[in-house]
Amino acid sequence: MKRTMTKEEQFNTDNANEAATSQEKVKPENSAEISESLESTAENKISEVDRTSQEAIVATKHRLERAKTYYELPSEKTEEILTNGGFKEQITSTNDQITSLADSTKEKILNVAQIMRSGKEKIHAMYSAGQKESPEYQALSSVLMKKEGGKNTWKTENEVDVDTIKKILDTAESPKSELQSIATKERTLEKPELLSEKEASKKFLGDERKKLAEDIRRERKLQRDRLSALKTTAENAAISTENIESGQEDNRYGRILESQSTEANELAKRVSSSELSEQDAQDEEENISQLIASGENIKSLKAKLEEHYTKADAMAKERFDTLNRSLEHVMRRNNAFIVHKIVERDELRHNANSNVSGKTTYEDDVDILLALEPSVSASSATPGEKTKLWPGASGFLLGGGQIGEASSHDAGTHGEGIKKRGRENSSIEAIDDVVGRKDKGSRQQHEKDYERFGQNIMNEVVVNNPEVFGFFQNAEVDESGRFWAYDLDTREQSEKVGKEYGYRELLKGNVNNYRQRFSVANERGIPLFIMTEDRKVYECLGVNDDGTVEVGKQITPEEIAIGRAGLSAEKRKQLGERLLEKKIFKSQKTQEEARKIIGSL
Amino acid sequence: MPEKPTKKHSVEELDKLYQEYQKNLLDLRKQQDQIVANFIEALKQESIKELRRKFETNND
Repeated sequence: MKRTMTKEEQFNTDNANEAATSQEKVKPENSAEISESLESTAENKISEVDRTSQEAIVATKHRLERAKTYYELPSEKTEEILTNGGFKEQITSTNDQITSLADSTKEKILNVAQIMRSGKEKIHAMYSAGQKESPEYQALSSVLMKKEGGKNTWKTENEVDVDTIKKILDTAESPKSELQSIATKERTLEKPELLSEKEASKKFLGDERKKLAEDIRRERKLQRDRLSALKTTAENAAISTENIESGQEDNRYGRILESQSTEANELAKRVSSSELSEQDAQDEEENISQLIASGENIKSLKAKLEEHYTKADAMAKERFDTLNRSLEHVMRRNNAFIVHKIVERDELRHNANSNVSGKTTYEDDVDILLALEPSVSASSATPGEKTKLWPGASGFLLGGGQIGEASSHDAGTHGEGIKKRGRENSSIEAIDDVVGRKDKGSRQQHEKDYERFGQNIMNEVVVNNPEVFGFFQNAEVDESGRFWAYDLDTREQSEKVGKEYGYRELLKGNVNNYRQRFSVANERGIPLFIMTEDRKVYECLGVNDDGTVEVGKQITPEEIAIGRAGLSAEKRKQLGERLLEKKIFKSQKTQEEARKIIGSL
Repeated sequence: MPEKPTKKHSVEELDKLYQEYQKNLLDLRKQQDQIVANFIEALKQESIKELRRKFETNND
């Protein structure tokens, strides 16, 4: 009789077949059950804890009872001393502490055994789910498994580091959508601070600063040595010249010591022509020439130092501006998302403003943004406020990049090549006015306008080098709190399924498209979200056949600002190379620019 | 030279947990011993007081 293999049998078959491959990818042959010796060791320890803790409590109780009889006091008196002296209370307290110590120790012991068990069960589950390539599987298997006689087997408990297993499990079990694997990069957010010249010099030009300091130290030392030699020579000359008063010479030496450049030159002429002998004067002139030379070196170093600090100051200002116009800080300051929609309507996508051919697919559009990080047009959306955005069911929540031009309405910017779009950069204040919807003078004024019109118009900000935080699709929540794909039309379609002709297919098609878009982003490791009409963003955990969407926690602009964003260079390169092969750009020049961007990764 | 961090293997971890428990239990048992000793001392003092009182009553 033909029957299909159970999962366990499949395991063993796979294991035998894959015996020669790396152990990280292969399921071990033996069971996931925790080994008997660890289980029995844990049980023994727990019994010992129970026994010894009870023994301690009972032994004290007996000693106390015996003590009561030592002095033949009346039992009422003994009880009175026991209670009023606080002894009863103290004994009860230590008994409680012993019980609590025993309980917490037993729990810790069980945890150790449980961590091992959970690690092994996780390996089984991931293997069954076809997740052998995932980092968690590989990390767990390298901790828990080993190769013995060509076969993969569990390590013994003495070979396993439980802390590492716990860390891996904690990471793997941190809340995230069951739909996806995340490939975006971790980031740290730098606080914008305008540094002083000195601080900027230390932070941005450390090597140059160090070199300059060394040069200055060297020159000072050289000058000091030369001055010292000069003074000795001049003193010797003064002793040998009978006609000169020592006081006058001291003054002269002092002037020599202080002389720089032209002053020193003048002095040299005077020295040679008067008091000193011909030979001494010649030596002196030579020394003073060296002094002049060293003075000039110092001057040149001073110029270099000024140049260095000017450069550091410019860098500090540029860095301050860069940080302030970074998407992360703009989002945080203004509590707003920055979104880039993907247009699917033929008449709008890749029109004359676009430098990409109209033949590109949805997947290509996604890959262009992820791989090339081109300058794009985006809009801001404040959570809780209905806001018009560029049409389209889906888009990206941008998490990184730099804001260039900002406009409170659709500015109709167009790209020049890949990395340039729009006119000159707007000031930080102008960006905040647009993104924070304060362009009517104040946030309060904006709130009045919002109350009057019921929604915000679409604004436009150019984002250079955009990094993607997540991918979202439109969704709407109904009065019962259920979320529906696209909008509440989906609920209507869902309700008419089975009642009116054609709705089953219509809903199925729409749900499939919804899933398909998520699948494109998911395949690229981009986290998935939904965005409601009033621009609230939630994690998307799944899409149901009836058109409802399972959502997780609500996401704030702040969380995006400090969250992961952008793909690794390796992943971008992989996506970019596919685009280059497809030759999707309208001009050869843009194709070359794309090639350079991908080549530089 | 800095010590290499030691890995906690499961059985070692169980031993370590048990040893830590024993140490803490010993401390608590010492506390109990002290409480019982203090109680005995209190009984002793009360007994002496009682004897003295009896002695004084007998001599009145």
